[in-house]
Amino acid sequence: MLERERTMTVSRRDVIAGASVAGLAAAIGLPRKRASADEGRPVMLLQSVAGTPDAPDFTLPDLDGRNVVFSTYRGRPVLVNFWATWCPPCRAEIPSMERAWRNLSQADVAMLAIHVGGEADGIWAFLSEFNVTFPVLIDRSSHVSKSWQTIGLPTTYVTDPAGRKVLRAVGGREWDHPDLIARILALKA
Amino acid sequence: MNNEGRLLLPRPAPARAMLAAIACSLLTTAANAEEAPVEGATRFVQDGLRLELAPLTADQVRAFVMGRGFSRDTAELLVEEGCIFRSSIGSAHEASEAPTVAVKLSEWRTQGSAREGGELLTREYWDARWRTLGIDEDAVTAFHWALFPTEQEFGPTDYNWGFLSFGLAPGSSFALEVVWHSLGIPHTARLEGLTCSSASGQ
Repeated sequence: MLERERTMTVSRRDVIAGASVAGLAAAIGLPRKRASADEGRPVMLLQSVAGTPDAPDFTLPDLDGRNVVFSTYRGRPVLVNFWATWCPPCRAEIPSMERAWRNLSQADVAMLAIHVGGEADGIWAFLSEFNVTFPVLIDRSSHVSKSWQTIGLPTTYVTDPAGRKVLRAVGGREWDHPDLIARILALKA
Repeated sequence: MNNEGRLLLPRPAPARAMLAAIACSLLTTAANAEEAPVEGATRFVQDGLRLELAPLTADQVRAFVMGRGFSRDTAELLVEEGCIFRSSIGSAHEASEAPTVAVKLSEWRTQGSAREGGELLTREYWDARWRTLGIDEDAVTAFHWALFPTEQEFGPTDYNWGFLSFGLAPGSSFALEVVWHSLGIPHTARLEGLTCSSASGQ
């Protein structure tokens, strides 16, 4: 999906049903990732966060309603992804996040996907489509998202074992890219 | 129009950088927007900025906002007043040491349209408008995050997705002056021939 664009038309029946989010997402193009000349694969970068500030602690419910407290992850790097089901690049990167999760979880790296806004039913439907197994939390009021200085979706931070924001990605990535995995795993050292 | 090759050049000396800044601040480039394969889509890459935008049809706007909890009447208000485009905007730089690119939508202007001023309708405008109308908070939150941020800075390969609202009537044709900053240098481009979707369009 990253490499191509598609047009679509929303029918009036779709409008009435209000069920055309996936189709609309397909209509919204994503930037074309360029392949680096030497490796033939897309360039994937993470930005360093200036000053490595402490990440604000939070308590948010997961999809089963159980509260998850960020500070309980101290001692491990954590990939914190802010996303929404209706955000096309968010949808595009979810499969690669799942692949990365299978790798990173074996190395004791945590991952938390925080859905901005409240749409539990839509989130469930989406997750079943992509067979997602990493933890998904809901930030219904978007208060936590804003406290983390997130202003667009998707935005992803990687925190170090001390709970500081050290890496950031604005926009989608292919999270199982070896360069990104290596940078995240380096935080364990 | 693709100037990404400049990224591989050494940074200019301070005096040269100052001259370049002055020259760039006076220069408004008439961007020859590249036509993308998608009907109605406009795309360009210039001086570190990558931009792509295309109008959403009225039915796409209705589908999105009604799916987020807006009423039919409010969806029609957005169709009539919003002139919504989808956009993807970010850094064209792919070298990790490349400079950041900053965008402030408050600096962008529509031209050749009926509305005076030409400012875009930002997140702040629509947040206030929805609250005046008593729209459900979950819907307000969803629309806020669906709009492109009013200000954002992009590192290499960073980009963001979001709706732009030009606040023009359905079917309006206009030009858009795009402004961005990199290394403290302002850059501008003018995109011609943009048109809001019609109110009845699918």
